[in-house]
Amino acid sequence: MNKFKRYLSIFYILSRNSLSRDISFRFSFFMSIFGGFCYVALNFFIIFFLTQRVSLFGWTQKEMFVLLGSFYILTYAMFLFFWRGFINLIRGIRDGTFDYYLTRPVDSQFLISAVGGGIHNLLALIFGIFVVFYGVNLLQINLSLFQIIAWAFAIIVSVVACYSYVLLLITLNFKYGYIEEVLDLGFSFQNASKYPLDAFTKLPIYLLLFTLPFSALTTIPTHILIDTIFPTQMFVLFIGGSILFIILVRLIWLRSLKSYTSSS
Amino acid sequence: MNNLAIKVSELSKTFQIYKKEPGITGSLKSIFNRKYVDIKAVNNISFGIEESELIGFIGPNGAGKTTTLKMLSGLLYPTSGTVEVLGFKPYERKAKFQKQFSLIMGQKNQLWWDLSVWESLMLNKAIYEVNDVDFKKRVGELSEMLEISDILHIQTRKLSLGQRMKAELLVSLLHSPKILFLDEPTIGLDVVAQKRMREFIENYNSNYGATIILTSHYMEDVKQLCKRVIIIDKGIVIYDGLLERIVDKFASHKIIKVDFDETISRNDLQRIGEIKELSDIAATLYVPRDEAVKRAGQLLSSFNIRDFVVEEMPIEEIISQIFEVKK
Repeated sequence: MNKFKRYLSIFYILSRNSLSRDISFRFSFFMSIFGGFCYVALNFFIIFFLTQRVSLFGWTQKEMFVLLGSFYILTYAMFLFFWRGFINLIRGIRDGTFDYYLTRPVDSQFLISAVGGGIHNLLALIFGIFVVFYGVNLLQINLSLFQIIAWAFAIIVSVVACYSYVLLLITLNFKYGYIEEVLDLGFSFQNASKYPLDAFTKLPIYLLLFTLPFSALTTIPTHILIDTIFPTQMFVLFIGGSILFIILVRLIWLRSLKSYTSSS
Repeated sequence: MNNLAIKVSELSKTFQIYKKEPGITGSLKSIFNRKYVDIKAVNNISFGIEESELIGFIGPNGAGKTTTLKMLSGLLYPTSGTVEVLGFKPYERKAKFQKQFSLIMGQKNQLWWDLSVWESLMLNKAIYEVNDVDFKKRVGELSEMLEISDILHIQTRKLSLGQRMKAELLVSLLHSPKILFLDEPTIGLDVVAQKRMREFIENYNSNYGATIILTSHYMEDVKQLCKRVIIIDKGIVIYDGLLERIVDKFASHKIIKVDFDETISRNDLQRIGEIKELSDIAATLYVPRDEAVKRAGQLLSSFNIRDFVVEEMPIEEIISQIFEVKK
C-alpha cells in the first residue's frame, strides 16, 4: 500500500468516525446546525442592509456578497475540517493524551488535523458557495473556467494558510502549557476576512499586521472572480506568500514537538 | 546474554518547573516574575533489557518510572545519555520503530470515547497497515484471551473500567508489537480484574515472546509477573536484578510468628526481638536477619511453644523500607 493511499484511508476512517460521533448526539447535532444558520443569516442580513443604498469601503452590495460567501467558505471549511482537531490537540497537550498521537507511525500533524470538525458545518459551507455565485450572478459576470479554477485554488490555499495560522498559535501550548484561548484569538483575527482589504487602510500599522493577512485570504480570491482583468501579480504574491507561510509553520510544528514535555 | 532489545546508558532527563508562591499575591507576582527550578526526573540511569524479557519497573510516585518509559517510547527527548530500542533512537520517532512497540497508560484513554471499540480497532488497522487476514486472526485471538468478544460493538464510554482497559490492550496489540510499555495497567481495577489482567500479560509474554516493561504500584503485579525488577527512586536506579534477591540484599530482619501454650508478658519477649504484634498467647517478632537462628533458639528454650514459624519479610515491606530509608 503506498503512503498516499494509506493516509487517505486513515483520513476516511477518521472522518467516518467523526460523522458517526456527531450523529449519535442528535440534539447537539441539530443545535449546531441551528447555531451555524443563525451566524450565517445574521452576517448576511447585516451586509444586505448596510450596503442597500451605499457602498462599503468602495465595495457594492453585489461585490460584498461574493466576499461574504468567500468568508463563509473559509470559516466553515476551518470548522468542518480542523476545529475539533485543534480542540483535541490543546486538551491532549494538557492531559497528556497527545502522547498517543506522537507514538503512532503516522505524521502527528496529519493525525490531529484529520480528526475533522463537525459535519453540520458542511451546510454553511455549501451556503457560502451559493452566496459567492449568487453575487457573481448579480454582477452579471461570465466566468471563465480558468477564473473558477484559480478562485478554487486560491480558496484552498486560504483555508490551509488560515489552518497554519491557528496551528502556529497552538504550538505555544507546547512551551507555555494550557492556552485554550488561542482558538478564540484565532477566530477573532479570522473575522477580519469578513471585510475587504480596503477597510483596513486607515488602521495603525501594528493592527494591520493582524488584520491584513486575514482580509487578504478572502479579498484576493474575490478579486479573481469580480475583476475584469485577472489580478496576476496579486495572485502570484498571495499564493507564494501563503505557501511560504505554510512551510514555515510546518517547520515550527516539527521543532515544537521536541519541546513537548507530556503531562503525567 | 541474549540480544538486547533495550539499551540505556547514563540517561538523564531534567525538567524546568515553574515554582508558584502560594495565594493570590503569589499568583499576581508570577505574572511578572516567575521562578523556575530544574528537576532531575531521571538521573544518569543505565540498564539493558533482553528480548522477550518481562521486567518490573518500580518506585514511589515521582521516582522517574513514567519519564523513563516516555524516553524509551520516544515521547521525550533525553537531556543527556543514550537510549536505543530495537536498534532505533526512540526520539527520532521513525515510523519503522513506532510500528514495533505499544505504549499503554492505565490513566489515559486512547479509544474513541463515544464510539465502539471496533471503530478504534479499524483506525489502528489502517494506521499500522494490518492486512485483513491478520486483523481477523489477531482480533479473534486477543479478544478471546481477554474475554471481550461480546463488547467490541459497545460504545467505549459504556464499558466498565476493567473492560475498557482490556479493550485498550486489544487495540494496542493489534499490530503485534515486539515491545510493550505498560504504565500502571491495573490501576483502579478491582481484585478480580487485576488478576485477569496479570494472567493476560503473562500469557501474552510467553505466547508471543514480546518484551514487556511494566510499571505498577501494586506489588502483586510485579510479584506475579516479573523475575527481574528495576527499582528507581528520585531518578536513580537503586536495584536492578532478580526479584527474589531483593530479600537477600535489602531485608534487614526475619519474622518469627509464634503461638504459646501459656500467657506471656511483653517484657519477657522483648529480649528476643522487636514485637510487632502481641496477644495473650501469640506474637509476631522481627529479629535481625543474621541472628535469626540464635534468637529462635532462645525463644524455644525460654517458652512453652505450641507452634512456630520463621519467615522472610514480605517484598512490599522491604521495598517500602528501602524508600523510607532513602527519604
